[in-house]
Amino acid sequence: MTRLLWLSIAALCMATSAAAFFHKAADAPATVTLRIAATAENAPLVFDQFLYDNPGGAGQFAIRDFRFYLSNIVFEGGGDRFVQPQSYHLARFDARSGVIEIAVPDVPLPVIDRVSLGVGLDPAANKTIAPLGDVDPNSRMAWNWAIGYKFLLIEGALRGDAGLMPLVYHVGFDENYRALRFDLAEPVTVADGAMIPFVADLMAVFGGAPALDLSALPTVKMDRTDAAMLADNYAAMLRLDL
Amino acid sequence: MRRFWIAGLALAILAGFGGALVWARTPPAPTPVADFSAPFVFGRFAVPADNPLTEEAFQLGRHLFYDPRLSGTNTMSCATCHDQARGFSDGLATSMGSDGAPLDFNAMALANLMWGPQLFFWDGRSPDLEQQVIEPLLNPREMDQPLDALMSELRADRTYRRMFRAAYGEITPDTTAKALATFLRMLISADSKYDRYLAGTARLTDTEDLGRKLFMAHPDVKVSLRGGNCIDCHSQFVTAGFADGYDGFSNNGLDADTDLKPGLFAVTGYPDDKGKFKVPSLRNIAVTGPYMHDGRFDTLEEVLAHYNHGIVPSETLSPLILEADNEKADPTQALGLQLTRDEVTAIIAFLHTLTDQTFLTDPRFSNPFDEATQ
Repeated sequence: MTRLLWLSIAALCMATSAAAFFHKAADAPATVTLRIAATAENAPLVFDQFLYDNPGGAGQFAIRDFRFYLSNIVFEGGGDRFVQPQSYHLARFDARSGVIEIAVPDVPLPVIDRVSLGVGLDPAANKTIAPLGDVDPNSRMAWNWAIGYKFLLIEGALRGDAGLMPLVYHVGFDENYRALRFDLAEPVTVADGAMIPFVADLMAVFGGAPALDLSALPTVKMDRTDAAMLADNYAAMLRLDL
Repeated sequence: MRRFWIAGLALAILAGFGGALVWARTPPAPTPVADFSAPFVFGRFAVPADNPLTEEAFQLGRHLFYDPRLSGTNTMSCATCHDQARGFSDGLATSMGSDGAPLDFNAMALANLMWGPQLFFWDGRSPDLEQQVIEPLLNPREMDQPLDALMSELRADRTYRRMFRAAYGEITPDTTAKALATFLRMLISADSKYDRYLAGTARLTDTEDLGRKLFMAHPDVKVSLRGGNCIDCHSQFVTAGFADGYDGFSNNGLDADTDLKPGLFAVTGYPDDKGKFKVPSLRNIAVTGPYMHDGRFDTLEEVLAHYNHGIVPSETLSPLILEADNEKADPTQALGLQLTRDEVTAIIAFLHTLTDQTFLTDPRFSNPFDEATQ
């Protein structure tokens, strides 16, 4: 009888330990990856080729560089919230890579059902001259310390009747930071290897109403009205690809 | 009893001898470079884990850099093409090989190599400094020095035996490369007038400050912003090309498609990289002419004239250069920067604020063999 009692106690202890172990493992912080693919016309964006029609006018255009800052990632799920510290990432796409993956480590949530992030840099980051995540004052995304950073960079060329026209869209300024929120239809379980896929639709930047005639507006840099118009467009550039 | 003492004494002598042998064969730990610093605005940098910055490696690298035994003819050192007073360049359009024949490229100035593009040579073919420093030695058109012969020369030299032992323990091609790379990494230029201006300890003249503003601006006629467009390729603090990926390489409108040299294309095989070359640092630029990868421009005035009205279109020309015009809003009509004479003068004045006399005369970077003979 005594032997049976001891065996029962031992089994109970083991079961409790195992339960505690697995419960802890399930809640252990894990790395979640945001995967962002550059697209145009519902297909992977092809760089350096004059494949795309000018959305609001004549001619075809090619893109050599497509970049934007993606900041302040927040995950929500299971009634809790995780804010990534120092969350400043550069999404850069060119002929060498049309997809980027942003790894967010140490996410302590069991599931994620909402992702919030910003396109661009918040005012504090936009003023910094110290390296901060992917924010680097000696990088191609920096204008200069008086102005701040380009939030979005698109460069390429338009080919039309008038010949080749360079396209340069550099959008910055504090007011053009766009905070976005994405609700996931199905929660994503947090575990190493978990991935949340997005697409970045280049054509959305030139979309809007009416669609942009690139020959009429081949460059945007310091004009704040033009920059704000493109910022409103890039607020619709990212979408979940679940 | 006497035998016992003799055996004990022999054992003690043997142990002492063995210990001394072990001590002699174990090099002392090298001394980490003390008080290493660089302006925080230069940003992050990395030193290879297997080649930390040490005083012994730096001194060894300095000796090797100035030693003509590193060439096959024993007449040419690294310093032959990289003269400290010229910002570690040589004043020639293209450098001369050890046989006196002209080479294909302009000798790049050396400063702040831990920042900016971490791909070396004008075409970026070397992924680190350890590899870069060896290539000119081996190139038959440059120093033409077989490594096995160099190792024999170095091992025959008592001073080098001592210095290698202190820095790395042994004399090998690998440790020779590491020492030279360490010397190059330590060539930090951070005491120009511009640096002092950034630190708040110097004021720029009105002309220099106008030049600074133009340097930092891409022209935008729509908002009446005039610019020299330098910042689109040369970062604001480091003033070199950008470090990320191949961002530090550009086609800056020197040649038409028919004359484009391969440049970065030779390394990547990607057609849109044809004619792209490494964007150099502008530190000490006033003393590092002639300019461009082939040294085609003798003066900064000629360089500015190129950007002002000499741009040659080609397939891979940067749109940022093609589009930059201070007078015309229509990029199809762009003719170059079209800066005024005063604006050109101002940009050149600003470029002169990048000259760092402390660096150009720093005895730590000078020829150690001169010291030995003084």
